[in-house]
Amino acid sequence: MTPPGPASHELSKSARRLVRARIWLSEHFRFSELQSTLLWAVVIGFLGAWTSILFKEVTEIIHAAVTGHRGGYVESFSHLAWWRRLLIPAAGGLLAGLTLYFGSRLKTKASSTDYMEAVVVGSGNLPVRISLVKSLSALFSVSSGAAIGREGPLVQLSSLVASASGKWMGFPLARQRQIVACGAAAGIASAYHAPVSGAFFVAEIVLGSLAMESFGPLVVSSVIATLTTRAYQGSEALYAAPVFTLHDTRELISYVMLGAVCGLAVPLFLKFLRDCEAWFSRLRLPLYLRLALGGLIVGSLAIYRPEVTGNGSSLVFGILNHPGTWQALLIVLVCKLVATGATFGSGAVGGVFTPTLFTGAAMGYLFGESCRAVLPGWGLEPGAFGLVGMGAFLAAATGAPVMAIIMLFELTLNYQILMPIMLAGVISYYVCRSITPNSLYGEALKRKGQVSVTEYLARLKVGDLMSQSQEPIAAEAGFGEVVRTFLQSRREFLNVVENGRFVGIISLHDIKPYLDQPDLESLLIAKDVMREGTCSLTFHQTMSEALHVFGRSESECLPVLDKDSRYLGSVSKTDLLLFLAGTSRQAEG
Amino acid sequence: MGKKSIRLSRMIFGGWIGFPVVECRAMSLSELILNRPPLLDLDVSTEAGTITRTAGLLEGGPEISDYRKFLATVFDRQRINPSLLGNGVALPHARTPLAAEIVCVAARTVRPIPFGEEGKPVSLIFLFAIPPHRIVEYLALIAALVKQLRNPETIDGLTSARSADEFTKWLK
Repeated sequence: MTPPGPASHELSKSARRLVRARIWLSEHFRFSELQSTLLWAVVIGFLGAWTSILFKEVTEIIHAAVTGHRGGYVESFSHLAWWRRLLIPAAGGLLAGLTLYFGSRLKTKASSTDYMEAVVVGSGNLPVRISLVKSLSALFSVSSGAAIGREGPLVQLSSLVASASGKWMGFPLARQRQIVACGAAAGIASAYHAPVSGAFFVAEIVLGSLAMESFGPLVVSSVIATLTTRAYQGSEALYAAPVFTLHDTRELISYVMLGAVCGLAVPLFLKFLRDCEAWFSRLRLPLYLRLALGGLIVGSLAIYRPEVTGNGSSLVFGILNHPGTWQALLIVLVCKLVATGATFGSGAVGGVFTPTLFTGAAMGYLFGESCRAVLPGWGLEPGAFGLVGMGAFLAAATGAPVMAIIMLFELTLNYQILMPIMLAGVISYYVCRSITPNSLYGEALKRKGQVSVTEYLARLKVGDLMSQSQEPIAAEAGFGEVVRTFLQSRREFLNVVENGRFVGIISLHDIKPYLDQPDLESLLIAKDVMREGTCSLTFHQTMSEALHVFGRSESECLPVLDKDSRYLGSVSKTDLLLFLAGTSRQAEG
Repeated sequence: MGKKSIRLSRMIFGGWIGFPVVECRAMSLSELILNRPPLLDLDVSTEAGTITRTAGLLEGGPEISDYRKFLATVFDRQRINPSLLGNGVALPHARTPLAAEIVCVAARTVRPIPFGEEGKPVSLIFLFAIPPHRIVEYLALIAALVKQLRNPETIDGLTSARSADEFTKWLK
């Protein structure tokens, strides 16, 4: 707000031309906040992909330096002496634990370090230092062969970049959360070369909504992230598999059974992970010793079976392409589960997405082998069961069957297998949900004490979404000042205040024909050209009340007032829609 | 394309291409001022006196519900920023619910009267009363008036007009 004065009446010709150009642009290319969110989604997608690429590269460099081999974890551990197989994961765990131990001193009360919490129940702000500490810890764990997925830190880092960008731009709550969600989608998309599932993962699991307001930016981020990653790493399917064909409709019966088996197994898998955590907690060891112990267990298993190291992606590839004997696979499955439980339970930073894929693939393959033994005339292919098992297990474990179906298609680019996966995935999901309402990520949120999402959302008011980035203009400000303010912002409306109280709005549409009349600048003030009696929101209104008010207003952004009509800030319709789109399922739930 | 067809197309497509449709529907200045003959050769010596006498043309009329309050509103607005156009023209105005219609009254002083803190000489006064919801029409009117008053010939004509009719004709 600038007080009126002689200077405020002067508006140069060039400034006036700029205003006219801006009006022309805004009228011919209506550039809403939603569209600007899409543009930010592009930036976040690009940055997220490069963050992921960087993390992968650094991990591989450290891994090569430690093991002396470039290539997959299983391959490099196979070449190591037994004592190095034992010590490398243990040392990595110790380093990762020490990083977390000393890094935890940086922890502030500010906000959650988990992107899911930040998006679902937080402000969308991730603390930079502690997030970097967690990523560094994950770097040590992953590069030393811990049996945990690196997609966790990839998504975390990508979300962190998004969070920092949103914070820098001063986005209000809803858009900040959306931007962090875009970061997460970019991280997943670049980790798995899977743009559609990246978007669906966040929409289904984190936001719980497929509304276009929130889904559109996720898709954009995912696609950009995937394109960027592919340009650097190539465009092959992550788990290229032979083309499996559905020879006979009766095969579907066995896939239905596989779905049911996966649905029964997933609650056990989730319980196993929970029990591992509880067991490590009971040891009452310092964090760094706990992680070292987890690494030691992985190392011990690696002496016997080096396949247990890493996230399990090479094992998934192996099951689909060169499975070997079912007995060997069964042993690897058991060892890998123990290794994953030890790493995850010890508190190592990382994801269990790829280990979940492996467990599903191995279970599916073993189930396929037994089906082939029982029904030799049906021409069943255990490899196809591996794929279907992977999808079914993922659907139940994540509680997101749509994402699981799409992800399996993207990971394998095998269309033929889609129908059995759809069937098995849905059955697995329903069977699992009938036993337990928990899922892999729901569990994580609950354990972090964020059970009452519904209550939290119900408590949120207009004031929580409010942004103070839009400065109002004083009623006494000259017409020149009004024009300049429009020029400096992307707004179609300006809020007008008099002695701190909201008195009306100025519409760009109302004043635009008179911008080429400099004489008016000396005659008019903001109060002369404002609209009175326009809609406004109050600080304590609920989100649904706010939506009704927006329904009555033509404005894309409404002022927020206190009980004395004092101007506090503003809320945009885009932010409100993003918020409501991103909370629909949780609110129901 | 003739002026008529341009006006017609602006009226039809105005909403689409950004021109205010209302501009074509607004009353003309002369229509507004013809309702009240202008006060010519007003013999006053102060800004307040000039405004009071000019606004007095509206006293008792159907357009203003409470003349005294209206006058106070005009002075309040003047205090914030006296509406001076230059060339001896002032356009005091008040946006107030007391006005039922947009109305404009005009006056010409016998000698220049100092207006505002800087005491700029004013001899032509156009005073507007505007209902709060009629911003667009008001802007169209004031913009049209200012455009006319930018012409020195119009200023000369208004200054030398011998009758109210002649004065009004310069605004057509």
